[in-house]
Amino acid sequence: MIEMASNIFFTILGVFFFMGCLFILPPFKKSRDPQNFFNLVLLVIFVTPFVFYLVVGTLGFKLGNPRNFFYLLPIYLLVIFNGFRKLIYNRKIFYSLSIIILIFLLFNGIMSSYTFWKRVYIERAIMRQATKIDVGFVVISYTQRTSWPFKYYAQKYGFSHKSCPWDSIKDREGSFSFFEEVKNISKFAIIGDQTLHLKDKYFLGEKLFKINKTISHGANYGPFWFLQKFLDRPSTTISIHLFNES
Amino acid sequence: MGKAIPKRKFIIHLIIILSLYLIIRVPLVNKPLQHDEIYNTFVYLYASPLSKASQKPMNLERYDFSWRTDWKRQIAIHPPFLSILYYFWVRLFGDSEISLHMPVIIVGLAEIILLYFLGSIFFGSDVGFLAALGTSFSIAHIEYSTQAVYAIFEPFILLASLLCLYKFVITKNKKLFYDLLILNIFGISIYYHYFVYLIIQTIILWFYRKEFKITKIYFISVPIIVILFIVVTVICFSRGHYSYEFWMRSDFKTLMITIISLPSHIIR
Repeated sequence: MIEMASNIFFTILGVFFFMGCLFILPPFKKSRDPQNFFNLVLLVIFVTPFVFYLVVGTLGFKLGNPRNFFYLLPIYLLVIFNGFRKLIYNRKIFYSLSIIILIFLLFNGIMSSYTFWKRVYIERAIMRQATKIDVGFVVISYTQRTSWPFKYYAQKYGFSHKSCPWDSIKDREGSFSFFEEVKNISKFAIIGDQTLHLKDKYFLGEKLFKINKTISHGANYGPFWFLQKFLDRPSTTISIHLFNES
Repeated sequence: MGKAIPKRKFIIHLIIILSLYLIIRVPLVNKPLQHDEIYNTFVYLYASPLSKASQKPMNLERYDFSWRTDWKRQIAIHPPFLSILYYFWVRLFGDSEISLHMPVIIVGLAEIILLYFLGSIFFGSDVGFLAALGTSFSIAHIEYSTQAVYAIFEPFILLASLLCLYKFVITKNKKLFYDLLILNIFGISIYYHYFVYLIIQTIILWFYRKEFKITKIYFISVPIIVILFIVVTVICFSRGHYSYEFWMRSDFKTLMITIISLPSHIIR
């Protein structure tokens, strides 16, 4: 439902965009008027990605991410609101509808991103919590697409014990140098939130105990306090699984 | 051409734009760092051409590369300006989340103010104001203006250059032409798409060359720079520097969907 509303909304914006493009087409007769030349510059700039995709696509290369054209965002919005302004002459109606568009733009963005934002906050909080566990090796639930953030925070928080992200062992059917690492370590821990599903076969050690702990992850949605109040909480429950040497 | 904005209206608009921008961005200043941010700052910090050989980067397990081993590919994707900027920034202010996010928040703010000016001049203050608000409300902008990556510097330099070009054409003040040249140098040092704009700008200036008394050196040097850029791009492409697994397939359907939904892809 939300996705459908979002698609409809962005389709409407797309229509305004193309209308805005038509409205700023310069009257070519007065070619030395600075306004005309500027409109021409804008037109050429914002058709660049379309030309790029047509050329690259026709030549058969893989297509780049449209976000590479992020630098056109302010110009696209100028064109959209210009098209919108030309359509609606009444200033009050123009402002009222524009504010609705802006609010929808913001909420659509927040709703689509907050799960990811929350995740990065939770993972940083887990990293911080992991420094407090007195074990020789700690496996941490960490899901970012590379291990760089993990290593960055491990270094930043000064991990005294060895560590690795949970994702690097969970898909490996139990055969991982992790066991080699753990072999000479008397105690090791696995720490993560609800997304962590342990499979006993991965662990050769004797499970000592599991504790649940609620920690604050400090995810911050700024002025969107209501989002935090009704949809989310600034804390999460994590599990710490402690193992002994096998 | 938009009318001159009354001073009171201008101040109110500016206060609203600045307040809303900061209300949304400031709470995110401490946002945890992500993959690209760490690569752009941390890795370069410890492995840039300026750092000592004894300083080693993190052990990057899967991607065991650093500036020393990877500079050709890195320069093929992004000019080195931001890495150099962050190299000195981190030495002055540290590599905490807040420190790394400060430059992008400030540049994002400057960009929105420039957009307001530009929009007001060309389409009237209402359009300029709402476009500036729309930019500060766009999630793509919120994300990039709180991430230590290249993206937010690009629209800023484009808007600054457009404003400078326009003022130069209007006032014919030669000093603005030199400002424009400096902005162009920054532009091509920040992102390679700027070359497209550089070509357009040069064509525009060519039409006004007699009025503005622009020297021939400019019209000779720009095509040479652009040709060099094209040659380097072709070499980089042939070496596979632009090959990414996650790029979309270029079948007809994907292409058409991408083109039709391009504005929404960029805004959302």
